[in-house]
Amino acid sequence: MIKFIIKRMLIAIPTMLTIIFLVFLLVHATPGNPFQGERALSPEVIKQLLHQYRLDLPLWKQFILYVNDLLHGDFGLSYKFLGQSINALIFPDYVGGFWVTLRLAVYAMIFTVPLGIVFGCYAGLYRNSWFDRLVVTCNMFFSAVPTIVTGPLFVFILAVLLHVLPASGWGDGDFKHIFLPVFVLTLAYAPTVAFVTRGSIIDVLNSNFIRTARAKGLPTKSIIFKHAIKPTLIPVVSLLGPMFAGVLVGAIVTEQVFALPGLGILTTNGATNRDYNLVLGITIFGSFLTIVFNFMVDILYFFLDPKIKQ
Amino acid sequence: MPILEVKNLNVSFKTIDGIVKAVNDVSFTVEQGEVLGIVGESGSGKSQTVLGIMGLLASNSIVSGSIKFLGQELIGVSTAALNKVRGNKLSIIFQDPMTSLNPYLTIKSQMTEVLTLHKGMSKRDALAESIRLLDFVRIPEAKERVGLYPHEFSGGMRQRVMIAMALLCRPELLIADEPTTALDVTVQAQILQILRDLQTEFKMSVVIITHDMGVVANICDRVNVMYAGRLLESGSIDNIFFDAKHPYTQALLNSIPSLDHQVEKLITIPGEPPNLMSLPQGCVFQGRCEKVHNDCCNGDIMVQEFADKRFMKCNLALGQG
Repeated sequence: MIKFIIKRMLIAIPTMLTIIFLVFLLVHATPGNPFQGERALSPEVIKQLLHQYRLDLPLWKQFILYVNDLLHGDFGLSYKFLGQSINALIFPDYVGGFWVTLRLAVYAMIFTVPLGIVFGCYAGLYRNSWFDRLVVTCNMFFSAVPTIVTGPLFVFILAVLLHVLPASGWGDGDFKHIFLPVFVLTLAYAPTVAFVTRGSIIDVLNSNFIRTARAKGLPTKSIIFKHAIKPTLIPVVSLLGPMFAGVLVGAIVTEQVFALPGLGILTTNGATNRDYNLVLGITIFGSFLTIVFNFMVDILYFFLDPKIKQ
Repeated sequence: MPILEVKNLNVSFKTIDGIVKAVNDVSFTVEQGEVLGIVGESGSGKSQTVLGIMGLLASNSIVSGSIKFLGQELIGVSTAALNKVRGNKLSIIFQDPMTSLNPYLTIKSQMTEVLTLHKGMSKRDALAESIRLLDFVRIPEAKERVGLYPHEFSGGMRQRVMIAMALLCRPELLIADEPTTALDVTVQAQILQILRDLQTEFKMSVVIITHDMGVVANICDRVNVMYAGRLLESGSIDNIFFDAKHPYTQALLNSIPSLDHQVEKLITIPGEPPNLMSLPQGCVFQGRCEKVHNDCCNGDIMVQEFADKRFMKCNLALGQG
């Protein structure tokens, strides 16, 4: 187990470096520089600014210095929010940035995971029933209709027409403000979880070892909970890791729709303002999270699949 | 009274292309302590017959007829009633030991659950009994290995575990659905030996499905010959091997290669089995039968019964042809 973890961590290092390198290049390949705003600055000021942000150095030197900063846990300075560090923007002292997105993602997953798994299992167990058809249809519907449509739709119904919930904003993270974004995210992700669970349990129930379990005279309850649940969950677990990381890096659209001050909004701001460091920082942080969650999924496999244990 | 009495069993499957008639009007009995072989080509309905007995048919199946096990009707009863019998007085070994054990549970947990369920044993007693049976099927160091997962056993060892698991509750009837097909030849012999020893030791009845005539000759008392979902001939092992009456049985026995005779080409039965979705009128073997005549192609086929529960379904009068 410890060997497995160490091996996994060692593999993560080159992956992370490659990602940093590629994103760094891509961001710096965009034309123009962050200080070409609508308000023309004098050449001396620009020169001074470029120097201050190390942008006058050759690219390879910038890269090395950047990686060095990263190793010290420093994402650098923002170009747009003058004088602020990226760290302070992503992890602010106030309610915002990652803290908002984290709460949003955790709440969304608290509903997505159990609902998806339970609905998926039921649909698979009662294949071709009306419930099964409903789950399949919902998955198709919500895969095709993105949150940019469902978000405003529910805002229109619940906020504009019925006035039961506020239309947007985080408030102080209270139920009324947080309900709709979480609901919209759950609608976007739970059907996928249900669909994967459904396919998985159908596969498992058709397998030879479930036939053996039935031949032994076991009651349906113990066939499902003792024999079928672990193999059913394996593909679901591998779906959940990257999915959670994805929501964490910013439910970009959802945050825009509900004007939530999370990572999603920071990302769009950074991209439109050529705030290299901000975009870089969030992307690298997101990649880091993805690697961490995939790593956690691998550890979960360890407990689910005895074949990996050896 | 026979242990198992199958009467006019029909199994068909609803598919999008039509109805597949897998088993047609099959009747046979199994006596106490008897070893019955069911032979036939792939798709002849052998497996579906026994899956029907176990209540393990696919959900798109339609079953009719009667299956009486120890006097109790098994067709149309609830799953709960069936579960009292399955794994207890009636058990089965499947043909693929590599996939028939749950890869996510230890052998211990898969075996003891049978005893705690059917016999109400404590976990500790169930474990002791499981180890005893693993010893019996000659699994070395059973005490240590009972805690392992299936992937830590070879194919032959897994089939032994399956056998031990099927015998935990001392069944009256053990069904073995091609128990040696997926194993290599030396292991096949060991598994057959184990089955034979167990049968004598526990005095249970066995139904063994195979397409290997060698296995039949080795272990069976009586044989059912199936073709295209029908039971064409049934008789004692001597009757079938030395005095086969049905043209299909004769052709089947003829096509066993022998080491004593040099042949240029292996003998086969020309043609293909009929499509189970559109069976011909009359005898199902008519298309491939050497002795086919007009009577075979329409109407009912005669069931000719002889002494000692021997019978065949064929219009051919004895001594004719």
